[in-house]
Amino acid sequence: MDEIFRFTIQGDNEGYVTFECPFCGSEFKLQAGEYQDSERPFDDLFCPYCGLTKNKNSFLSSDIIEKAQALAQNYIIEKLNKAFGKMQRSINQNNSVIKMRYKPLKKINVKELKDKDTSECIFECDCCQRHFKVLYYAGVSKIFCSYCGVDI
Amino acid sequence: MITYQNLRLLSLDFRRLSSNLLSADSANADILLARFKNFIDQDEFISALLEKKMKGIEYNFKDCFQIETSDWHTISPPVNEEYHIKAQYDYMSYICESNCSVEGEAFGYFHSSNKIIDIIQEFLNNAFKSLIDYINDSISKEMMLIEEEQTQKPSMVQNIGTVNGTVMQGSGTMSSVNTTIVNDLNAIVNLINRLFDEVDRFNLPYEEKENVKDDLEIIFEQVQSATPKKIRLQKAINGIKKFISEFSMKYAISQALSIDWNALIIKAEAFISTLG
Repeated sequence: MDEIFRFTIQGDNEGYVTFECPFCGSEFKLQAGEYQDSERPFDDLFCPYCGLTKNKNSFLSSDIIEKAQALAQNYIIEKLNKAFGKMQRSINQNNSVIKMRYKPLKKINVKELKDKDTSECIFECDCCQRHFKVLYYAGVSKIFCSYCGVDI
Repeated sequence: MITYQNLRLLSLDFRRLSSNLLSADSANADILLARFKNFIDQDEFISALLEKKMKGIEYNFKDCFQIETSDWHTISPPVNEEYHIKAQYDYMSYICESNCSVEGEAFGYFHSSNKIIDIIQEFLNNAFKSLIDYINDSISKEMMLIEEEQTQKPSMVQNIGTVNGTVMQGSGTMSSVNTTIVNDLNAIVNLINRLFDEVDRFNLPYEEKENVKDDLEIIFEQVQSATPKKIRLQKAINGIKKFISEFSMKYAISQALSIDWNALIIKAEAFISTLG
């Protein structure tokens, strides 16, 4: 049985959320509205720094993955506690020779995700008109659009 | 010589191909490595780049990729970057041309994951990522050099002052005299610095002050950028125009300052017209 967990990530003051490149490990930000825009779907993302591309899920930041794992872990803990609690009650009924003791597992802390305001610059892609936030020094490096991969 | 447009296309193609290689699995790793090797061999820019880097270097790739041991294979990159590039290229040729597979090679190295896809990707990343980075960076550097050349040319002559033209309709000949004015970017920067200080002294709502400061900052950044963005500049100028029309009368901004605002708009628009 598949379980779906939903959680929200609060963007920075301009609505940008942090992502992490699976190749070079650099962090960049994308506008939440554009990322979730169902009218302009996309499968892959490009790293604005190294320009390499992979499935968009590979760009989820370690904080997001940590939170998803924590939610899944808490779900399992809850199920186990419920099942063993029920078993304990059933075994420990009156007149029962066998007794069972069960110490419920503790849930782990799930932190709220909130992106802080940082000093990156916002760029608009001339090709797809979508936005991303990166650290950029003119003339020192090249950057690429996270959605269509063209150089900016 | 390769054009800027061709470099952009090459960059995109190369990045796609190398990303695919680094994300390969057991089913497609061999074909993706062969495809990558063919691409870097057949593309004129990349093959010339690698040839130049590896010219005259005698280095056995097995000194870097120690694959002839009874123990786990290891990677011991040489200090010299040229040697490392050559070792990676030769190792790639060795895998493509011999009977060994990427998966077989990957399993020869120490791995901690128990997933085949992770072992393959870790191997490809450790073995060939620095070659990919070198080619990727070289393409970007070439693009930056061309960009710089292109932006330097128009910045010398930025504004056409007067155009006197005569057209002789019957004979079909045309003559014109153009007077060009060398526009000093420093003038725009100085104006922005002056206006920036003045904005704080205006009796304006905080939000309006911040908006106009943002517009000034954008113009400041763009005129000094190697690759100024026409759309961003135009948006900032429109913001300043709106600010002047709405607030100059309302908050009694002095005539002298109003002249500075207008001068900034004229100079910034002249700058935009040179961007093509």
